Amino acid sequence: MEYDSEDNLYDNEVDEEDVKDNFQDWGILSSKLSSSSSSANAASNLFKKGNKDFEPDGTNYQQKLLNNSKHRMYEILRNSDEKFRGHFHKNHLECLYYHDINKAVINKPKGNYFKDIGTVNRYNSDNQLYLNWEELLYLMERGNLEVFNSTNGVPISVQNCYSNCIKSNHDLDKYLVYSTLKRHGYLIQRHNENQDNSDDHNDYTHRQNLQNFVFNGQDDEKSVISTDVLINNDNFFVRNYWSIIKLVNNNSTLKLFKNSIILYLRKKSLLSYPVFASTKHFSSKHYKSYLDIYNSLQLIKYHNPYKRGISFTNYNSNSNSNNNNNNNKFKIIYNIWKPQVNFKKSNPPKPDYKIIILNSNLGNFPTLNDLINIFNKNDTNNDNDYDYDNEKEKENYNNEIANSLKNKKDNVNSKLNKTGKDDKKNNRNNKNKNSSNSNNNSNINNNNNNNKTYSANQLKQMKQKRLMKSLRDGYDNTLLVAVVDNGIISFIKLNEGIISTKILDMK
Amino acid sequence: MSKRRRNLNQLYPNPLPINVYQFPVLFPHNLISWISYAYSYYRFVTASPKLTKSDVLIVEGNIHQVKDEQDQKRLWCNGFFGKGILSRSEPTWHERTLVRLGLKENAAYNSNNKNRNKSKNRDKKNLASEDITKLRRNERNLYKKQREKLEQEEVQLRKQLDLARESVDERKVVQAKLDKLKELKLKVSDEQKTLIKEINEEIKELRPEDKKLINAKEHDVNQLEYLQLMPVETFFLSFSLGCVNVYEKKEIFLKLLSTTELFLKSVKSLKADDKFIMKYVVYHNYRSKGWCVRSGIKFGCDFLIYNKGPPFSHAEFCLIVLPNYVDESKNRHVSKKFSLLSGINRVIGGVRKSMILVYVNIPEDEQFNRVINNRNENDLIDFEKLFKLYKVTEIMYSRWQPSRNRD
Repeated sequence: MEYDSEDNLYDNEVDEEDVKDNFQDWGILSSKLSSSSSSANAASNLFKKGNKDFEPDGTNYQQKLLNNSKHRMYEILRNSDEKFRGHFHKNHLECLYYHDINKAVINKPKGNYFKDIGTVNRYNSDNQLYLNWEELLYLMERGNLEVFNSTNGVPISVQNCYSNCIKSNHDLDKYLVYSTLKRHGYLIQRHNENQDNSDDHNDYTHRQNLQNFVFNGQDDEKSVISTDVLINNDNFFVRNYWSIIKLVNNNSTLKLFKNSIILYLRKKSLLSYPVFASTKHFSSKHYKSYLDIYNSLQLIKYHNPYKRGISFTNYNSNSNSNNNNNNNKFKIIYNIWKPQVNFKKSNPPKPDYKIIILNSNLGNFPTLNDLINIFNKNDTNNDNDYDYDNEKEKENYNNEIANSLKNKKDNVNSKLNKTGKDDKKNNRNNKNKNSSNSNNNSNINNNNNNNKTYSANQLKQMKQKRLMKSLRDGYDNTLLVAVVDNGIISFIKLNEGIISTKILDMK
Repeated sequence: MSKRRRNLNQLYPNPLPINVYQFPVLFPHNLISWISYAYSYYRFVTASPKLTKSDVLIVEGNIHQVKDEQDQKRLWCNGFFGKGILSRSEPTWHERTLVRLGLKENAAYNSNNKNRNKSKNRDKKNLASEDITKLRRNERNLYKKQREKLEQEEVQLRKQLDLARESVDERKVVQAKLDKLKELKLKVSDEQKTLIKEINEEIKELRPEDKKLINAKEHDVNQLEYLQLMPVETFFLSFSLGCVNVYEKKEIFLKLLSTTELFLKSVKSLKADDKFIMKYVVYHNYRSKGWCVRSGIKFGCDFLIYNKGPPFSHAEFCLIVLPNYVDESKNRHVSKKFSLLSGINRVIGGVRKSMILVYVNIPEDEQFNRVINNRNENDLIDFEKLFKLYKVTEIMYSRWQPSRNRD
C-alpha cells in the first residue's frame, strides 16, 4: 500500500485546475527519503510551498527559489535508484509471454498487486495466473515484472513488450485509461458482458417481448393512454364504461345531444372545460392545491429509468437494426471499484463504475440510443428498489411528523401549564416523561426543551433537501466515458436523470 | 434566514398565475364553521374561479411585450415569467428611477432587499439589487488594484534583497509583507463604506436626459420598461393556463391571436424537429413538474430550472435541449462534439449547477403531419395530441476526476 501512494508521484499529468492539489513538490518526497535513509543530505532542508510565481521578475531571489527546487528534484532522481526506480528484489516477478493469445502466464504471484490483476488458471492446480496484456504492461511499467518469451525463454525488452501488446490505437487508449486509473488506486477488471449480465439481459428481453405484446394491438391514439388504464381495462366496469362512450360517439343524434348538454353545463359553469383543448379550463374549474394543478398539466411523456420494461420499446426497436455496426464502439470496457480492502476477484461486488473509452478524434458524443442501450444492459437495480426506497422515505417522514406533532402537543401543554404558577414542577414532570420515552423520542424532546422543535416548515425543508439530493445524484446506474484526445484523458460521468419522474410539491 | 424565507413566501405566494381555492378552516365542534365550509364547497363546485388575464403584445421581431404594470407584476410574482428589459430580471426600473430622482423614499420593491441585507450591512438597506451588484464590482476592482500594488512592492523588496543578502533583512522583509497584507484588508473594508456614501450622493444628481423622463403633472416618471416573455413562456401561459390574451399589431388595430395562430407564428418551420416545439416540450415538461423554468443563455444552455424561483435559491440544473430522431444516422450527424459539451459543462460546473442533456424524441414526419393537418371545425390544431408524440429523456452529464472520487 505504501508503494501505491508513492506511485502517484510519477504521474506526470498535472490537471491544470488541480495544480494546487496535485502539484509535485519534490520537497515532500525528499523529506520521506531523509527520514528513511541517510543518503539524501541535500534534500534535508524542507521547503514549504509558497505563492506561485507567474512570470520571471528578474530577481536573484526568484532564480534561487527555482534553482533550489530543481536541484531537489535532480537529487532525488539520482539518489533513489534503488528506492523508486528499477526492480525491487523482494517483489521481483517473472512471467512468460504467449504471443498467440496476447497474454502472459505468471507462475508464483506474490505481492500486493494481484487483488484485481490476473485470472486464475482453472485447469491447472499450480499457482498460476493469466495476465491480460494491459495488466502485463502495467506491472512491467512500474518495475515489478520481467517478461520472457514463451517460445525461447529470451527476455523481452520494454519496447518490444509495448509493440507486441498494443495492436491498435484503441488498445493504446485503453491502456492509457487503465494505467491512469490503476495509478490512482482503483481496482479494475475487464468487463465481461456475457458472464455478468446474461441473466439480466434475458430478463430484459423477456420483459421487452411482453411489452411488445401489450402494445401491438393498439393504434396510435390509444398507446398514448397511460399503461395504468390499459391494465385496468380488464376491469368489468371500465370495459362497460368504454363501450357506452363508444356507443354515444358512434350515434350522431346521441352525440349531438351529449354535446349540447355539455355546452349547457359549461355555460352554467357546472362543468369545466378540458385542460388542453381550450384555454378556458382554469377559468372554469377550481383547484384545491397546486399539486392538483400540476397533475392536470401533465402532458409530455418522459423516460423513467425505474420502469425500464415499459418505456423502452421505442429505443430498442430503433437501435437493434442500426446499432450492430457500432456495437464495438460503445461497449463497456472495464469495471471499476473504488479502493477497498475486502475485494475478491473471484467474487467481485457490484462495480462502482463502468467505463467506455472513446477517442475524440474518431467521433462525437454518443447518441441517446447508444447511451440508453448501455444503461439498459447494465442496470443491475431491481425494479422494486424504487418503491421500497419510496416507502422507506415515507416511513421516515411519517415518523418525523409524528414526533413533531408530539412536540407541539408538549409545547402547548407546557405553555398552558406555564400560565399556572407551578411551571418548575411541570418541567420536572416533562423531564421524567422524557426519560421514560424511547431513545428516539427523548432526543427530540430534549431538543424541544432547547427550543429546537421541528416545525412543519422545517420538516418540509428537510424533505425538500433530501429530494434535491436524490435528483442531483440521478438514477443509480453510473456510466463513465473516458474521452482520449491524443493521449490526454477526460472523464465524463453520465447518469439517467430522474427529475421528470417527480412533481415538486411546494405547498 | 427563516424570516427572510417567510417574507419571500409572502411576496411570491403562487408558483403559477392561477389562484388556488381557499377553504375556510373547519372546527368540528363549531356549527357555524360547518355552514361556511359547506357554502364554500358549494362555491367550489359551482362558481367559476376568477382568473385575471394579462395582455401580451407581439411586435415586430417576435418580441413578446407585457406593458401593463399590474400584468408585469402578476406574471413576475406568480411564477417568475419574463424579464424586465431595463432590469436584471424583475422589472424594477420604474421604482429605481423614482428612488434615484428622489421622488420616492423607500420603494416597495426594496422591502425584500432590506431584510436580506440587514444582517450583512445596514448601510446597504436602501439599495436595489442592481446597485448592490455595482457595489460589489467596485469592491472587487479595488481589491484587485490593491493586490497588484502589493505584488509590485513584493518585487521591489526582492530586488532590495538581492542587494543586501543578509538573513536578518530577510526576516524583516517577511514581516513587512505580513503587515502589508493586514493593512490591505483594513483598507478594503474602509473603502467600502466610502463607496456606499458615493452611491447615495450620486442619487441626488440629475442627468440631462432625466427631464424627458419626468411627468410633471402626475408627479411621476414615464414607464419605459416592459416585461419581455420568451415565446415558449407566452405559449405556455396561453395554451396551458389560458391566463393571457395575446395580441398582434395589424396596422393600427390589435388582433387577438388564438393558440394555433400563436403557435404558427412562433415556429420557424412546420417540421417535427422545429426548435420552438422541442423547447416548448421541455419547457412544459418541467413547468408541469413544478419547476420554475427560465432562459439559460447566461450559462450557455437552453434553460435553467429553479426550485421555486430566482429570489428563493440559485438554479439547480441547466438544461440543454437536443433532438433524438428515429433515424439513427441523423442522430450521429447532429451529435455534439466532446469539446463543446465539456466547455459548457465547465462553465456550468463553475457556478455549481448540474448539467442535463434533455433529449426530445422527434416523431416521424408522417405522424407529425397527420396531427398538424387534422384540424377541427375552427381550424385549430389538437396540441394535446401533438405534444403527446414527443418524449423527453434526461441524461445527467458531469465531469469525473479519478483523484477526487476514490472514497
